[in-house]
Amino acid sequence: MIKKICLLLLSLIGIISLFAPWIVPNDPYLIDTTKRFFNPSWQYPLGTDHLGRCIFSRILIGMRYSVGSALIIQLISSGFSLAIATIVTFRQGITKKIFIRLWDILLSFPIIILAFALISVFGPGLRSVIIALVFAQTIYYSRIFHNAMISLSEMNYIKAARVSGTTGIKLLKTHFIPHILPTLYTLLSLDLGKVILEIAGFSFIGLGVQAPIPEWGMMIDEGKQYMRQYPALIIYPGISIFMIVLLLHQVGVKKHAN
Amino acid sequence: MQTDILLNIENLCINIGQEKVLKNICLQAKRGRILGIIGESGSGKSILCRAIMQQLPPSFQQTDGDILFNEYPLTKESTDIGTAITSILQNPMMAFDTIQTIEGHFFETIKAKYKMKPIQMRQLAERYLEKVQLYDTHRILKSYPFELSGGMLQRIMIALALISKPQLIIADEPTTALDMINQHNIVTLLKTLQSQEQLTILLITHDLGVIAALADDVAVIHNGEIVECADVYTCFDSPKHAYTKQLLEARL
Amino acid sequence: MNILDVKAINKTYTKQRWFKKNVHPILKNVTFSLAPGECIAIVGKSGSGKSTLANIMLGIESATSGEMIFREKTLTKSYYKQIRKEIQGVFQNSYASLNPLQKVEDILKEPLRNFDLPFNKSKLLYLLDIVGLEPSLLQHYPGELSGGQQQRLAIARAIATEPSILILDEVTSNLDMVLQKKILQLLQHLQQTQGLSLLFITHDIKVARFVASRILIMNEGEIIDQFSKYQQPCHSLATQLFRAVLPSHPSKR
Repeated sequence: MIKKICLLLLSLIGIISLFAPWIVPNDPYLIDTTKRFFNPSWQYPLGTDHLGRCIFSRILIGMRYSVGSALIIQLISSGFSLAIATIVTFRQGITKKIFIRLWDILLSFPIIILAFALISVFGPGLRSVIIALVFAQTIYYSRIFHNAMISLSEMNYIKAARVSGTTGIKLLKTHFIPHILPTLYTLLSLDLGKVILEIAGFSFIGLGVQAPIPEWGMMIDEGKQYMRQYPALIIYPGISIFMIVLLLHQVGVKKHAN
Repeated sequence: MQTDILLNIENLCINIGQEKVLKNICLQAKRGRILGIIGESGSGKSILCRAIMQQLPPSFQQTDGDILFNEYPLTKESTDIGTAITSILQNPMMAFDTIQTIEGHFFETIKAKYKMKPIQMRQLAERYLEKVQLYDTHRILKSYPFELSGGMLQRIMIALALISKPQLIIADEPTTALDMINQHNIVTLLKTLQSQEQLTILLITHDLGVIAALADDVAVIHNGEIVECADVYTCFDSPKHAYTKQLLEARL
Repeated sequence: MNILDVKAINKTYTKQRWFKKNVHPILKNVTFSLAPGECIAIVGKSGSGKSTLANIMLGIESATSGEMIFREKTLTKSYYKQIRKEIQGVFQNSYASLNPLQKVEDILKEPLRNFDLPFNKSKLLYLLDIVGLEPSLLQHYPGELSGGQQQRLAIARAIATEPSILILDEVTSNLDMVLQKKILQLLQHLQQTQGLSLLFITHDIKVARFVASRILIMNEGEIIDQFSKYQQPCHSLATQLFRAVLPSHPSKR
């Protein structure tokens, strides 16, 4: 029941973010210093921020950046991880040993430190954040998928399929992938929330998206100096992040239980 | 009060939810004899075993009937369980605590019944290991379960079951997880011990060979019901129920 | 002409830790033959290498040395690819050897598709009929079948490609007595009607004596004794196995 509601809400959010540029009441980038810190009204549903921009519009557009980028990151890293995991599982010898050692080394760093290192190479900006997080997530996932595939390859039905003559891609498609998919879905949905938080975190400290992009973390960063007088500036983006992560967790957890 | 019938099960009914798992089970284990219960997987024999030991899984309920040991009803609180009634389980490799040495297992069992100093407990343990024909006692006591083979572990389990000088031993498929030679050895050992110590054994199995080798009395369980109950020769020579006949025909 | 000749198969498992090499021999000089239409049994306890031998014969593992000759031609990797459909197998744990996410009809279609054989419905129904399964099971998943039905399905899949050799690795070890006999009788029936050569791997000498005309005893990777159904074993370990058989009647204790 809860899962259905959450899925519904998430789809709604998805649709809204797709059509966001057309349904926003105001231009999220329009600066008007005469309209600073307005209270919520019909014109400005959530009020305005320190530069007179409509907070509601910024939240809607920001959704595309926060959630959209997170989705892109997850999809790309899943694709890469599956490919890497497949190669490592089925190639014996040096390749395997190199990857395993690489995983051990890279995973012993907290992912964020790795991402930091990469961003410092590529410079701040949304693109760098995406590259860094794709890299970090790929390492993490490819090891998980590799382990899953190794345990799958021990299964008797893989043996039986090989005896029946199924090899190569066909074997992967019919016997491996369907069993890995549940793990993949769970990871995707559970970590989507985590990735949104990470993107927001990077923007918050200034290494992620740059102004004036209304990414939610960025909005919190800009609004933190006015926290005392006008907490609305950080409360609305904060609640948005919280709600999305909560919904995603509900969906992710339920899927796992299935 | 010494009676001929050690364990008396009367009209035992066990359900899981609405479904009947055991229907009106009536069994009697006579003192000094081996009662063999034979049935296929799913017939309810394991549940019967657990019901006697008062270890039914939470979803199972006893809806009717009594289990009487020495004419007293057995309940979860009965002190007889573990002392006067002990058990030998199916898969010896899984039945031990992997982080405890064999000595630790023995001490735990001995402490439940006797009050002894460690050195006395060790001597007792060694005596019982020799009873089950394990003579490298010092090494075995210091070992962990994963260091020993299935056959050895099964013998140790028998030793542990004997140590509290039980009146009744419940053996739940003691040979199923073993290979042929070990099976034969365990069956021979049980036969020797039974005559030496005058044990009463409730032997549960799906293998007719084990019944033929050990049992004095046989009960055939099928779909939660006892379909045949007789002494072993009558059962093999003049079976009455169709399922018993099917089992006998299935011998290779 | 023998349908299969196994000559001096050796399999060693090498574990290299830095500079120390640990060599574990699993199969040592295994040699035997299988005649067309014959049923032989390989008996040994778990760990004697029987399953590894089965894997090598089914082409899942490769031997370290030695060769196999099928219909008088040496089995190389390329030749094996050609004749793969002639050597099929059934494994011990039937539930584990069936993909739980595949429907019964897809399980049966798979080997037929792989070897470009017709996989129309009538063929599938025919296969189900031979092993005694109902046609309604086609749309079910393996998890919905009983243990006996699963084992029959595994057998149906194995004979789908009309192989000449069927390798059975402990197929009745997990089954109850009644079911065990039914499956063994099914296999015997299939052997006669389909002209199969059976290689039965088991740890139970009773099963071996029931199905096979020739019995090979395996211990620690070596074949230590070979004799026909009506003979007695020579090797002490083999005699030990025979003596370990439980009696069939209480009077024989």
